[in-house]
Amino acid sequence: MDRRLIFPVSLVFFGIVLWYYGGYSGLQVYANLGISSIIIGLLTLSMDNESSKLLKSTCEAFCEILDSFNENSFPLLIVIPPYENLPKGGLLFVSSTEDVSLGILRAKTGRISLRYSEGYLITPVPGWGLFEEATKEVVSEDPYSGLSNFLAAEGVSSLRLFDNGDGSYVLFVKPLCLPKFFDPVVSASLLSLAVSMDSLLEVFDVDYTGEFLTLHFKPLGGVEEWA
Amino acid sequence: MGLRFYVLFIFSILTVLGAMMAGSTGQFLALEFLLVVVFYEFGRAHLGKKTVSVMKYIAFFLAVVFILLALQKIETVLEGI
Repeated sequence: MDRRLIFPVSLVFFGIVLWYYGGYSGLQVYANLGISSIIIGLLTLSMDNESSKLLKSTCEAFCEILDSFNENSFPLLIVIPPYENLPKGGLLFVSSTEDVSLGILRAKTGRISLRYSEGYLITPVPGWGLFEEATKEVVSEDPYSGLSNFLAAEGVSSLRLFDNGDGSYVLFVKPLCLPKFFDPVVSASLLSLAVSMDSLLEVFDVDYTGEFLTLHFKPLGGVEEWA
Repeated sequence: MGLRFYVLFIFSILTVLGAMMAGSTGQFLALEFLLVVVFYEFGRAHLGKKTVSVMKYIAFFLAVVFILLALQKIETVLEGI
């Protein structure tokens, strides 16, 4: 028997005994406590705390592979929200934002030629699955809040967003694995922000604060402005 | 530990308090039904999918039991008349 099941199953069993004893002896408090014990046991049984560990162990090698693409040759990252050409969003590594044109992008990972220079496009965004999972159920919430709540609820990570007041923002995010932008949580967070703000995002600075990754970014305007 | 743990912790504390303070099992079930509905409505963003669906089943079960108890009560009252 799985060790995680011992506590909830004993809680349910204890609840049944308590309920029976309460009914048998006429002590109503015991019967009530028995029912509540069964309910709490069932809810504890439905909790799955291993998802974050499992996610981390499965994505570590994946992050390393993606890191070998060497993002350093292109210092700037542009996060592209999903649109016609890139239905699952994209991460575009470039040396300058000036010659970016979304019209030439196609849904294929690899080196691309921009107007005057080159760039590297990664699509789908590595955290697309997380983003989709977090946003498909709660339609009323904006994608960023949806993802933030989802990650916190699953115990995977936590996100904090601050507005600098000068048009730029700071996002604090706890990554699963270190190669920064390829981390599913980091890329899903950036994508959710791009969708929430309905804009391309330029990540211009990255540093670490403890176990949190600090991403400084600014919105560049909607997809139509860069077509 | 996720936020879900704290939501369930508060739910458990309120449930146990309700169980100890309720005047009858019917009262406790009504209170528990309310608790489940409130936590489902306001806490579902912080609860996992599995927990939310279990909460739905519990709410449904409690509602059925509560209706049965209410019918029994009505029957007793009618018999008295």
